[in-house]
Amino acid sequence: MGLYRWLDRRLDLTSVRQALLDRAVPERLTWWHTLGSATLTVFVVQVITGIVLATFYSPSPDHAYDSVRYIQGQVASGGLLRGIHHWAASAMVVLLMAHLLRVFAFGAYKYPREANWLLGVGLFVLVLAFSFTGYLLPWDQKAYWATVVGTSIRHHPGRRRGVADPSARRG
Amino acid sequence: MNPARRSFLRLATAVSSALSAGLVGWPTLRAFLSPVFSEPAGERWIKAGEVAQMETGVPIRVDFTETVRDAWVEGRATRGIWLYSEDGEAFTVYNARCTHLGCSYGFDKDRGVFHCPCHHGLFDLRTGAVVDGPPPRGLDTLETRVEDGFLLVAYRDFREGVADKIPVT
Repeated sequence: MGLYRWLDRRLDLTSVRQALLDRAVPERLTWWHTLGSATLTVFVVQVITGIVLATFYSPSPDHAYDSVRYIQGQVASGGLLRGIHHWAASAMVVLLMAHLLRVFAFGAYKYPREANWLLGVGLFVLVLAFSFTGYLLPWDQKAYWATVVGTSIRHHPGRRRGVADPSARRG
Repeated sequence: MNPARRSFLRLATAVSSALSAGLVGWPTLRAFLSPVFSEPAGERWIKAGEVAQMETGVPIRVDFTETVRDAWVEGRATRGIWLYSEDGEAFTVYNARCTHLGCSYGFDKDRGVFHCPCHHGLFDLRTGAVVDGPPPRGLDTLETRVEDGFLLVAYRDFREGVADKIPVT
């Protein structure tokens, strides 16, 4: 307890704890209201596991696949670590989507929270971008072709002109 | 709120938080620290030659290549040893890397000593002891064994530049 008091005097831990755990919240909160913090938790998991995976991963076309195989088979708990990162990535998109629908359905984007909504939409796009780039990292057949498909959407003729133009079609 | 309910919720929150943190934290920490606990490659028994065919009284240099794995990268490396025997029965085998900075040394026939060209380290032929120059310790001797008339040598490398003979991968 002496250590806690020492840290508390310097870092003000008690007020942090109160703000996070002992906060007065409105009545009629539901499980739906937890989706935002669930997403945040999964995000923290992604950051921590991602940093450690990055210390073993080699981001080059020559070594990416082999280094992932190395993580999977040789690194202690590597398969489990990568599994957590893989599933948490999917969970994050699912949770985020549910959170977005919850906020929309509850009308929580209205005044005074419009800025929150816009920020959230920005983060949503970022997460989709992360999810797309993360998916290609193993550089196996699935990752490669998913990336080909994903990057080809950019060249889709219908997207640029609003009408299909066969002459503009590319790879 | 009912105090019993409150303390139950508090406990449930603490336990489930600790559980999820541990579930993610343990494999993360284990993977992160795994290089610290990795074992050196250890000795590799190589066939140095047929005992009956070996010259006595002069040192013989034997080079060989081996597959080296560094994580997922596989490569080939040339290694060397020096064999010496006076009677064709008892063999002294040295790792062919100089103990100073790892250069490949040769045998100086005129002076009867091993000579490293990098910084002129000199080693005794029979014992491997340092005769002159900067090497911090004598040549690294390797374990040997004779099997079916062939001399087998347990090859391994040792840390260079230090007085103690410390095995490395």
